[in-house]
Amino acid sequence: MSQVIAAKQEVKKITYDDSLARWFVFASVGWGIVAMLIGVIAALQLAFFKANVYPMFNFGRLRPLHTNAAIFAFVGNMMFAGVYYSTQRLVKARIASSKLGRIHFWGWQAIIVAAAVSLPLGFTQGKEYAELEWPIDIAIAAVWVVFAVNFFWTLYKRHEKQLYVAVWFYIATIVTVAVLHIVNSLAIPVTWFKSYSVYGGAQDALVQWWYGHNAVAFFLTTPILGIMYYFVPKAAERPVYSYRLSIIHFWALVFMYIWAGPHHLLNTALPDWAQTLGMIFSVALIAPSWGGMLNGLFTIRGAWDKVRTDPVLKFFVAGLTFYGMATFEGPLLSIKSVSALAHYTDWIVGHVHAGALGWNGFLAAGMFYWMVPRLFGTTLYSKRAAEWHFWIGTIGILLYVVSMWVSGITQGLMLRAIDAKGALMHPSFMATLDAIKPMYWMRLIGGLMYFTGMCMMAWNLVKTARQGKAVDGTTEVVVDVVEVEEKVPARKIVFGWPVITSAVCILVLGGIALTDGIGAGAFIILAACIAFGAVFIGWTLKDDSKPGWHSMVEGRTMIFTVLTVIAVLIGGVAEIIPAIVIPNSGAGTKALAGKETHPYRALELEGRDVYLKEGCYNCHSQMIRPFRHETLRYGDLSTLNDSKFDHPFQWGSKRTGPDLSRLGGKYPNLWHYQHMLDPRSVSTGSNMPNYDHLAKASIDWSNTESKLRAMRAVGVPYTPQQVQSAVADAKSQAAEVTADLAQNGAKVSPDSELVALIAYLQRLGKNAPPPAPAKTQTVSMH
Amino acid sequence: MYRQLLEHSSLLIFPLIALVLFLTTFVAQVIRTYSRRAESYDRTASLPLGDD
Repeated sequence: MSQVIAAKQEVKKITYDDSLARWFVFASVGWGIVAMLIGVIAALQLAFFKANVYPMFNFGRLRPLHTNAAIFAFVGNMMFAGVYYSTQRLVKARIASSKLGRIHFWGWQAIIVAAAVSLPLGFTQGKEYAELEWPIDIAIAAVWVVFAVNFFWTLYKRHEKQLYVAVWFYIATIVTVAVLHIVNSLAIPVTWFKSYSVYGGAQDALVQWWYGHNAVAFFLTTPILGIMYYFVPKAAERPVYSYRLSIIHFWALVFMYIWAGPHHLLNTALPDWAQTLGMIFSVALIAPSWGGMLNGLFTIRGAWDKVRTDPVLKFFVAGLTFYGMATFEGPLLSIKSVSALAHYTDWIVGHVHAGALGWNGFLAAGMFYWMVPRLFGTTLYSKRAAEWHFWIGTIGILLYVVSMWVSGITQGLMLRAIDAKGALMHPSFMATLDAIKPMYWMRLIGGLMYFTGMCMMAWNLVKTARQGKAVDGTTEVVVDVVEVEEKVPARKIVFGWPVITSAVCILVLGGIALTDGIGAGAFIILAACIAFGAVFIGWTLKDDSKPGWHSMVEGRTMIFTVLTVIAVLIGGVAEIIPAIVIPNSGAGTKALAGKETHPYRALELEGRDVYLKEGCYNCHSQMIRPFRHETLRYGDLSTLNDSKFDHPFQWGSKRTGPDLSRLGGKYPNLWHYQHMLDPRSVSTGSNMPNYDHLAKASIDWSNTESKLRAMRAVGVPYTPQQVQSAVADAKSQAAEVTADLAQNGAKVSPDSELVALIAYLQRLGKNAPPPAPAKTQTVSMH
Repeated sequence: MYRQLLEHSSLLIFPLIALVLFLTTFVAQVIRTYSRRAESYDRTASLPLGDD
């Protein structure tokens, strides 16, 4: 904060650039409809496999398109609309550069189009919510930087010194998403459309879910909370219930969210310490989340009668309630024993959609219905249609979520049911799928209702815009014209007592590494004494006439941003670095100690890329958890070594079909051939699409060598000879598979993707050493 | 418990340190925020209401 020595005030007219908000609103609505239409189609495909009408639009390829469109296109554009609209008004300054704003808008839409084209074509990194290939990843980073520059430049030009809490949430979003995206997307390119993650196995799992969970936190939650803290007071026409609580809400989320990622990996081969950390922080998150929800709901104090008549408030109240529901369910699902039942089932799908449709979708609707009339200087075209949208949407969400709860719990219980003799009560996975099929139809009805509501909103907003005229908000504000300004030196903030105390505590706690037993406890107690002592002294010496340390930070945007980044990063770094530096810290490794792990042969690697391209990981896991019912059903429990050379890892997050970790050798090649051509010919009741097109599609051998070289670059121990003879070895193995199939009457080209995929599937759970080079050379000559 | 943890590597002390540090800083933040009177935030809290 600056100290003003002398100041006078004058009235200044500010005209906001609201064109960006208008564009982003309609982009969000348009892409939202696309995202939800794809969601409805995907839901139909799960209930009715014949809806997989064309390979490019099979479930495995549409599901990533649906999630990316919903998160980055629908919520992304909504977030930008809210940020541009509210930030200008909160800091009393026009956006710094309209040109950069336009680059941001068109750049983001271009990225969405690139995603919409590349994902159905099968260009994917195979990491959930981070599927887009490396050139698009670079474009995302570039456009995000443009957004960040424009945002911080606007803050620099602001007339309001105090940063409202919504702006804090925006700052945390901008910096954290940048860090998450860059770290998780690091990959070695093979071609323009193919790359391999630099992380492998458990490390990749930890980094991916550090990213994946925090994409939920910092893309779907914090910016929307900022929007909530701005628009709910606007709609209720009263300030937020407790500003102090909003501060706690912010810091608690920043401090805690970043640790919670491992709750996606409970009961897996991930080291126990990381799982426990993730679980503890996830459970703790319920406190700030519910504090925030109640803060939002209580903001409507004294205006509850308006909820009955105002659709905007209806959407906000329901959205906040869904936020409360999802943030209660999240910590619940993060408890290891609950996760044991719910993970890999539809319960998780229900949880995600309570958040996405209820929290994000309804906050978006409330914001749009409030903002669009004002952006076009008119009133909402049809309040009645908005009311209908609300009720159709609410019933749609409830049908969706309840059906997924029933489905998830039913299937979870069936899969784990063991009889008195210790055998599985439902050994057939398909029997459990059959039991939940009605729920898939119910989900479809719920999704369709929500989609209908979205279409009604689009119609209503377009009509509203057409009956009005685009207007940019103007305001006359009394601003301080500072004549002489004495800034608080940065060192006074950087070396403020909270920073110094934290540094001293780190040093003291570092002493734990040097000692053991009582000594370590003493260091912890000493650090705690220093921390609480400093807080107590700071509190007693507090001078109300002078600004406190936090007040000074709030006035210095860059320092505030840097401290937020540090808070966010410490959690991630402390959690991820040990897992990367100590790759063999998991218990599973001990079981395989002494056993050598071999990388995939070239054909198996090509087959694995087909597996990724088709999005098989969307329905199949490769992680057998340490439960009797899992080992009985799928085989020995997974170890870290199993996925050691998997770039990216393929542990999965949902089992629409069975786990594939130990599939290798379970069935003959012919079974796989028949299964891929028509899954129902060997697996009655399956809802898997036909993959007969793989028999006609050929592997592009010209990239095989480059693929092995890229894998070698990320640490997979291929020898130079193996890289050079990759194609010969692949063709040799393909010839073996094809010959075996031919013997059983199945004819397929050895160059086909189907043969490569069969080779990969037969390798899963096996650790076959590569054949001797001489044999490879001999076969390849024929 | 931490002894078992550190058997794997002394590096695993860092998550513990960060954990204690985070909780301490967070508690300090809560105390600081609630040590100020609610009214002192009134102006900031009303920023969204007087912007246009």
